[in-house]
Amino acid sequence: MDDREAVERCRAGEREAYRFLVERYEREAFAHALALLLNRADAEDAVQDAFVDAWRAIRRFDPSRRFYPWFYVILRNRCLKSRRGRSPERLDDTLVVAAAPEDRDLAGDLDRALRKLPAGDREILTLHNLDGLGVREVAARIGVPEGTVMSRLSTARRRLREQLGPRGREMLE
Amino acid sequence: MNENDDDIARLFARVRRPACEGGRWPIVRARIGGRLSRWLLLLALFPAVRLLLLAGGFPAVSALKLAPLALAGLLFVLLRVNPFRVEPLLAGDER
Repeated sequence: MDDREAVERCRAGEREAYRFLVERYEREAFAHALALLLNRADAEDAVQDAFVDAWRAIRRFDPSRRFYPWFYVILRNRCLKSRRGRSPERLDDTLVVAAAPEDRDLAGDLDRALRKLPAGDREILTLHNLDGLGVREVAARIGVPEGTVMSRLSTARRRLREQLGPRGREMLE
Repeated sequence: MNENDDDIARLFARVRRPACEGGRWPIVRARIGGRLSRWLLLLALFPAVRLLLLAGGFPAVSALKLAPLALAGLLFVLLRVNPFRVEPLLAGDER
């Protein structure tokens, strides 16, 4: 089964077909929610709520489009709602880990720097740099023009540089 | 992308996202299966409200008279969840 078939079957009311989509995207969704919320419990809630919202709205989804970018909009809205009126974020999860053991300090530096950024900066940097999305795709995901994405990326990079620790700065030099 | 942006890209190239756990399907399944029970709950509330009003000394309230109340409750439930409402963007999220 592929996404399109799963969506078609969900639209016909077949709940088991939704399992395929949930299991395929739940990890990615959780990572994205965590990057916005910096809190495991809140991210879990946002992901579950978003999957429930998406199921209820799936008849309005155009199956010729890709599922996850559509779902991301729902997830993002859930995360933003969850952020309202909350006390300062608890920092209880890691956003990035080293790809190789020798980069552990660097990953720690980058993780700490990312946490200090505003959520919007963190979101745009991780979508672009960790997920490898192009400017156009990021723009579609967060619902702003491409020019705005470029300008926000530039600001986010500047802020990231300011927040980096010694290992991260070393890498930039 | 300028030279500095390449530096940031190089930095990110040396990290990855941590592995996340799955296993959310049973919870999601239970919740998406819960819609009917929500409607049933609303239906069940209908006579319950009527009984409460009677117990409180109010004159007999017909189902018809309670209909606007039920309708208001229904609208609240339906309008409260709108996943596609455009949320304010995070640009002003300065800390």
